[in-house]
Amino acid sequence: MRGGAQGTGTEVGRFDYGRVTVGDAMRDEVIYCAPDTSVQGVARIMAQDHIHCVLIGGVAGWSVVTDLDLLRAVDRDIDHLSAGEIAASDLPTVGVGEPLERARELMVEHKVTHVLVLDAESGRPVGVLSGLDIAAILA
Amino acid sequence: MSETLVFDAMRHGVLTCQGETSLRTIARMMAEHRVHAIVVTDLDGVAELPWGIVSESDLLQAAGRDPDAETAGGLARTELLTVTAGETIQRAAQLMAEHEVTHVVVVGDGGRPLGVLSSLDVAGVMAG
Repeated sequence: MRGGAQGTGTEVGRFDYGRVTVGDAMRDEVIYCAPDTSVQGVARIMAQDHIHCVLIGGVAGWSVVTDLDLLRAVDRDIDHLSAGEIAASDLPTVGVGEPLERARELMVEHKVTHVLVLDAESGRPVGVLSGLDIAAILA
Repeated sequence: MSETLVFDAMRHGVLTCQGETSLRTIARMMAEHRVHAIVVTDLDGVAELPWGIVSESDLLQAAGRDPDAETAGGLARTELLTVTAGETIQRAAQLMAEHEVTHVVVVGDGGRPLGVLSSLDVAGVMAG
């Protein structure tokens, strides 16, 4: 961030936002699908639940499929592709106890409007934070 | 999916604000209505287009500054990625993917904003 951490901290303190953590603002729900879920299936989950990213659970861990991955797949043979095959997004992650400002910086830096929230100890995804969640705190 | 038009999948209507609207008010509008873009309507003479957009990304960038001092007019971008309502969803999705954006403004014949098409609207079409 321009101005460095200290400058940013002073500025955000002015609108009483500096003490808010990611955990205070996030949506504490993660939606999972299986790696072999069809593209149509993932599209249905996103459209119905109004979510922009779905976690793909697997034996070896997890990955994430985003709405941008769906858009990139429109020219491909989506009838024969799975969630795991189109997942290409590298969504930034943030710890649940980290300051909200840190999440905002990550979003700006990576030009995204969502970050995945991880539990500090287990490293497992525990929620998703969106730009609109930050807007709600600002409001 | 190839034949579905933007008009059939888009969210019709836009939320608007004035150039002097504060960032805090814009944040409230986005959070309450769960929308990712607000149209700023009174940029006549100020910018090339008479209207502009404050997006969720613009809000995030400005949120490190004073939300009561920042205004919509100062944040609005008038160089916009737009699609027309008569365009196909396929084409709109290609454009969005190319530019790595998840929302585009849908404009009418006169170039005025009619609504917004989001990645989730496209997802709805892909879901069948």
